[in-house]
Amino acid sequence: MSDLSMQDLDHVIKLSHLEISPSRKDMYLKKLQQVLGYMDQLKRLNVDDVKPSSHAINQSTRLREDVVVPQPDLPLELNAPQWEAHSFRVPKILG
Amino acid sequence: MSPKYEMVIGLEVHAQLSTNTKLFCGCSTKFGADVNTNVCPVCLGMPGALPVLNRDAVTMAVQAGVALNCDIQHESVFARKNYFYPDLPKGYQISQFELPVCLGGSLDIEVDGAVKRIGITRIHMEEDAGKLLHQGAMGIADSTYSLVDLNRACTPLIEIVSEPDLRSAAEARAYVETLRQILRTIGVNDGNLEEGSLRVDINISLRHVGATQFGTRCEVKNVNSFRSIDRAIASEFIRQQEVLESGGRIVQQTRNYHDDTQTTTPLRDKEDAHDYRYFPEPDLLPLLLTDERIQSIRAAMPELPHAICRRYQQGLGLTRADADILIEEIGMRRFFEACLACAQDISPKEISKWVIGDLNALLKPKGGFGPSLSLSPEYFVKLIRLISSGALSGKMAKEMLPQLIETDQDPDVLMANLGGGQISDESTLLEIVRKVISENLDVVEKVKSGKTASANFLMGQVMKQSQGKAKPDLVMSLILAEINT
Repeated sequence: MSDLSMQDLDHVIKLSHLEISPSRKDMYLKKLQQVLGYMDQLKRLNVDDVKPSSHAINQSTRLREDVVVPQPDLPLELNAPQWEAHSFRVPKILG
Repeated sequence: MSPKYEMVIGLEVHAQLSTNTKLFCGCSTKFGADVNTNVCPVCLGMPGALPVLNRDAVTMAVQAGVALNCDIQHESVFARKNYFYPDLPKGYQISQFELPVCLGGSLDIEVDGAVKRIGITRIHMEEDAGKLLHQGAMGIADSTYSLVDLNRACTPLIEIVSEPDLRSAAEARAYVETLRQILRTIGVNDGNLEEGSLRVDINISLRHVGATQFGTRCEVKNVNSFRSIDRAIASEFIRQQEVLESGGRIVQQTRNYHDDTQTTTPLRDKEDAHDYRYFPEPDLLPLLLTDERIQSIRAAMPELPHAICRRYQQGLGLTRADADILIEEIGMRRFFEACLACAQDISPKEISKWVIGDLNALLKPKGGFGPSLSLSPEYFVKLIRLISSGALSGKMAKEMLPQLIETDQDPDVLMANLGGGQISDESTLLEIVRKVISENLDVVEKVKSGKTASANFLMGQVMKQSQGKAKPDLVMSLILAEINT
């Protein structure tokens, strides 16, 4: 179990724009604490001498020349729940 | 009364790299295209589409790092910065986090003649987000919905993060101006604040004068002109001061600056890095830069502004003001340099005088020294050479210049078309001088009696009869010689 607090949970809920009813918060807190508890187990491993690695392959990323590739006319509107003036229409952002 | 609070400022500058294509796909980065036309599965964030890094973007990021005295990293790693916002198609931004491409540099700024060294924490590469057009109101606050244009999504940026070394709006401004000049001069950014190709986020906090601990900071966004840098800092200083004076405490948050009211309003509570759940981008391997590659970029570095400034002043004898103009106006400087290359016999000062003065004035309404300029440096230099040899008067050259710009014809040909150049042949001039004297004997008497200013009248007559082509200083000496014999 981790020491994630109700305050931490509220912070995460706020950041992720979720609405969670007060009655279910205890359940979510407990589940999240369990997940993070697994991380605590990993933390017990001694990795002092291990260099952090981001990828398993020791090779540089491929590079592309800076040349414009013409794009076909994509049916973008099919990927847009709402489409207006050749743009993706999204709901009000603030408030 | 001495001030009670000191401000501590750190800047994050996002600079759009001047590449032809986006950071991870071959879509054009050209500004002003129709909405959602420069897009493809990669920058739209379609499932399965994979990013491939742009070689020139890497080169430019390293160039910026070299120019800012950074340590270029042999290994840097792209990371996903996760957040949700309608302008971010993938739900994450590909950025760099723990291992950016450049670390630890510096930038010298000058304020009121004093030089101050500002630390650079890091430079990292990242992709830009799309653009939101808020509908139904002027700003985001009251709009009813928004339209998303993804042309800008995935455009290559570098974020240059400074140390919190700045202590005033003047220093912050000098920092951005100096940085902008460097990035433009080395050709990695076009420096346009209004179009958003250079964006400045200001981190500002207050502390009691003499304190060593930093206060809680706020980040101010939406600062898109040099004037608004000054104003945003001034308004945020006053706001934080009022909060502290009334016994309150500053909440760490991101605030939006509004130029119309010159105030900042909260945009969102500032996230800490761990809120973004950064992790290494699995779709891109690390960027490995060999010593050879870094060395070759270093060796091909364009000259930096302070070096150009020193060369122009000490090597070419230009004034600081003229050097500054040429450094700021990149097209003008290129033309000036091209002229220098074909004019070993003419003083650089003379060339700069004509380039910055008359030529610039004529070109300004026609798009300046841009690609539309057809005037060849060789012909322009030839025109200046005709002046210094006395074949053309300065006045005649000025009259010929518009035609030279228009036609880019050999100045010799233009001169012949205009009925020849300046008359500097002594015997020809003497003939005219004698004629004028014989027609104006009363004036000659006045000059003889000591009214030397009357000689100017005779001079005017000679110019008139020669249709303005007589060489003035020669005419005057001939007139005086004739009268005094």
